[in-house]
Amino acid sequence: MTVRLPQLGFGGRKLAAFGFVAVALLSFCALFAPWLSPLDPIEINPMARLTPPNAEHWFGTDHFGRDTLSRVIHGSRMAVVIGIGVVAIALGGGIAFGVTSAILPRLGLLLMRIVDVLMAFPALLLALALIVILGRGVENSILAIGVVYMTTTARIVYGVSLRLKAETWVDAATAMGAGKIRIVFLHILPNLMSPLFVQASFVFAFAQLQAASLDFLGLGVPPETPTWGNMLSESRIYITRAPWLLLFPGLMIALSAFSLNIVGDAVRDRLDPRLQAAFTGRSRS
Amino acid sequence: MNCLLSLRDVSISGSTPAGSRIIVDRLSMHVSEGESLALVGESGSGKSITALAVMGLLPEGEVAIRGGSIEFAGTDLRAVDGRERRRITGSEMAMIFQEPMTSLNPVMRVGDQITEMILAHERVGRRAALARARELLASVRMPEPELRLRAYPHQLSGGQRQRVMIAIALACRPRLLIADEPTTALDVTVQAHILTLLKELQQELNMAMLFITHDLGVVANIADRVSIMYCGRISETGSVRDIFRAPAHPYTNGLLACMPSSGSGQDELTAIPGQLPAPSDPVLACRFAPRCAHADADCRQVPPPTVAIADGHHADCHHVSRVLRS
Repeated sequence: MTVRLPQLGFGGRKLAAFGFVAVALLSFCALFAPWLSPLDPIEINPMARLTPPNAEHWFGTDHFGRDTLSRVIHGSRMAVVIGIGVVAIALGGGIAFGVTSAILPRLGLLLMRIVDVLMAFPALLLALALIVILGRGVENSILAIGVVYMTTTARIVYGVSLRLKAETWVDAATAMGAGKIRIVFLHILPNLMSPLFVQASFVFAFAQLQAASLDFLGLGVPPETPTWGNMLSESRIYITRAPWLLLFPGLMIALSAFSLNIVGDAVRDRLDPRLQAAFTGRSRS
Repeated sequence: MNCLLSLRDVSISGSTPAGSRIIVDRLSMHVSEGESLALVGESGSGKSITALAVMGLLPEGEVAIRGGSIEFAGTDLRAVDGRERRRITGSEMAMIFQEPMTSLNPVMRVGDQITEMILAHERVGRRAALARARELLASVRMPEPELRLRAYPHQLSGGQRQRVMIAIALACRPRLLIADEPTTALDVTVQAHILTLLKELQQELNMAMLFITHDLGVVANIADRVSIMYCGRISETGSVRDIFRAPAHPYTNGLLACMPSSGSGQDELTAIPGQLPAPSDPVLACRFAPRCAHADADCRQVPPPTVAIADGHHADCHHVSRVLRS
């Protein structure tokens, strides 16, 4: 979507513009982390342990003397990778489960009960249980968090699909000889796009928080990899002596989650032809 | 004329928490090739359900056909499999709906919705289909068809949307068009345009039409024959002339009396006394008996016979001769 940015016209909506800039910066950091970061994120410098922010180390250093700014920049890589991976699994699985359940009501009854059972567990507990089964690692973190958010996505898709299935235009399409597959791809999936955009941004945002929680508990990405969650986890004992160690990664987690939510909302507003009509006043109905 | 669509003793029932309930009761009717039949009835009389049953659109698990046969051009529609039904619906028979606001997919351009329909049934290229869509829009008298192809449904007015629906329905030149109250949701002036359009297209394409309406007023303009439906049964069938000049069923009489006519000097609107029986009411032999001025003990106990008045004109009533005299 970012390539179409100039046409999207968010003029006058500062919050949306802020969200886009923040997400663009995050993506930029993730893509060019090795060139952007001033120092090696894993290089240990015992002489400069727990230095407060200064001209050389803008965000200070941690208990091994590693540069926090470099680590934060490299952390954005893992944040984006986990975000994209989780969104792909959550939306892919959620759409498959939700739409299938809506189209085939008998199978749907069974699938939705499975989803209900999974949803009964708190998100973090479910992710933890999956990590215990799968073992820790980047892929497994993505898979575990993806499955957690697949359940809520499936619920949303199921609900919206049921509503769409009852719309007159679906009956009309059936009356014109469209089969179930045609109905799904032409009439249900395209109408799911706008709620799913919002869901994708939420999932991306919550994936950051869950990944950080898993890392914080030492069950996520291996500790040698710089992630914001790992940084929080390692430096929590220094909270009084070196608060900057928690401040910057914490800020990044909050900022990325917040700006992604804004972007999701803005894109949805812009993409839905019905809402678009409300902005441009072109509707005649 | 050849019989195109024929329904024989069709019963349809719906399941409610309180149990199953008959919606359409042993209904028989037919539509011949090229003719226009109006099916007239109040809301809840089962006329739309009948149309949905023909199209195979009854809500699964809630409403089901219990008996009888539905034949279209010699094919038993109750026996066909999904693939054959998809071939027939759309290309052989098509349907337009009451609500033009909701019967188009809001996120698909109008042109795509028409071409989709053509592509689903015929082996033509997308470009050829798009050209056909343009012609179709022109044929339903859509202003600036080229421009409208690229419009989304919300950019069109109600009348224009109904024109698009008609264009989609006619895309594959069906032999039967079912129109379920296609003008009810439109302004009166737009209504007249759409009715004229439907009538013209029906004659141009020599297509049969089943026109469902609750408005006896539009019937005279659009139909060759009329069937009046009450509580899941057809009470009277006849040519437009028969129905308007010599109604033989007290319900038809009542409906005609309800039509306000300008210049008649009528001050008050007439209504048929009473209301449609509730599902919980006991089923009487003649369902109209509680509201009928002619009703007697027979009407409540003996099912009314089908009385032929003239060729193609018949009514289900014990007192046809009395009604005709009144």
